[in-house]
Amino acid sequence: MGFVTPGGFVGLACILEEWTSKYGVVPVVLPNEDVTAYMHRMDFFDYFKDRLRLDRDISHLQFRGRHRASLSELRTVRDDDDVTEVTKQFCGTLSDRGVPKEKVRRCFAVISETLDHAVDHARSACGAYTAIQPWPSLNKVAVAVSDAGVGIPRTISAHPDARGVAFEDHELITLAANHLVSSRHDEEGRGGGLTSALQNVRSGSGSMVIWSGRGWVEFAGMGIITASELAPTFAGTCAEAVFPIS
Amino acid sequence: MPTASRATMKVVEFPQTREADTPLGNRQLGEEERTLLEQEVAKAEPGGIVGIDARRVEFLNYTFADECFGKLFSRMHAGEFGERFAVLVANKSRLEEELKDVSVALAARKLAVLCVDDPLHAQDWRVIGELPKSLEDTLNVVEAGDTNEALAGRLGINLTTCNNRTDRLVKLRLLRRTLHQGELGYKQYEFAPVLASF
Repeated sequence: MGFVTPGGFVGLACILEEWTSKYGVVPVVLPNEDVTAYMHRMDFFDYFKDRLRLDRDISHLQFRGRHRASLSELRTVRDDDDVTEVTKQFCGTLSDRGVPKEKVRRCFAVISETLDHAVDHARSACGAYTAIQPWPSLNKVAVAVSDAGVGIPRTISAHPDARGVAFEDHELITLAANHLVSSRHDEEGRGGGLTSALQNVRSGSGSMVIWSGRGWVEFAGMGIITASELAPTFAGTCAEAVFPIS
Repeated sequence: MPTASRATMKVVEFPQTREADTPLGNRQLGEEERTLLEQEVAKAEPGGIVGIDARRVEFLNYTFADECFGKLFSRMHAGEFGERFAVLVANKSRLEEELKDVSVALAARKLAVLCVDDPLHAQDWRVIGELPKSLEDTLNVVEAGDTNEALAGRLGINLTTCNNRTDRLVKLRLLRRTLHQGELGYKQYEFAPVLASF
């Protein structure tokens, strides 16, 4: 592994949550020094401690410099109060870093809606992992949320709108992105969160990847789906959105 | 000509449970805020208006908007708060940016809400949410004391159609309706804009 995005390590965190709960201590072959240091800066290893058996000692990394404003540390969210606290912190940090308000609002919409989905629908034992990462040199910001719950396809496979229309996991994810398709379809007003997140991505000229179950869907531009296919199974949902900052 | 009695507007700060810069992004928070707003509406005098001053909101998402405003106005639409009204206080720019998901959430429930920039200048109102063009056209021409007959004549539509439109506007809490007894003893509904007397 030569590079890891926020989506990559929140997803990895959930995979490790699943594996450590099933198999106990998991052996890990660490990536190169830079990526390992980056993950260390993101507090990735703090969440697992002795649940991972690393192939080398990383104690020296604690003496390396951290990103200013502790911007992109990995965070966990378990309930609505956590959603409020984490989104407030992320919004504050992005604003402090000079990200325009409009872009911060889009990041907020994506993070809060996907976190709310994780807390409200996913039934994820480890809650949700989330992280943000601005790349000023690339003029981009990435936001990511992942959970180890039941996954989008399973939560909506019984939805009336899915019958005869969406069979495979990637088709069900695409359907979930449509307005008012929710696992709680008997409750009025439900199902707009993911759609709203996606609209924010699209109107902000961003892109978004959702990986859940065996479905992998990439959304970009004004409603364009650039990839929709079956992928290796992800037990839960991992979503990453990338926006231009200016 | 009969006119609507002078209504009162009580303006409440929003959000009430958190600092204004708190991102409003989940159902729990939406429910807490809605509960307080419902108490304010229930406390208002019949015919009174609660102005929800959302001018300080920085971040608000669809889920919160649905839980707070979608459900509040859904209950008002169902008649749970009787002859009381609620309007949103926020300017056009804020409604299109920070509060844009309020309109989306209301539209998803086929609801609409009156908004004013400033409670002191409530005659400059607009509607957000989903309001069919025919209802919007009707709402725009209503004058205090209008009857269905007068409105139908002004709009050039038949009485039944007009009656249906005003009925829907009243249920949406976008229009006042009072039962007026005429000089000859007959009764008929008279209408007035919610914010006409400001």
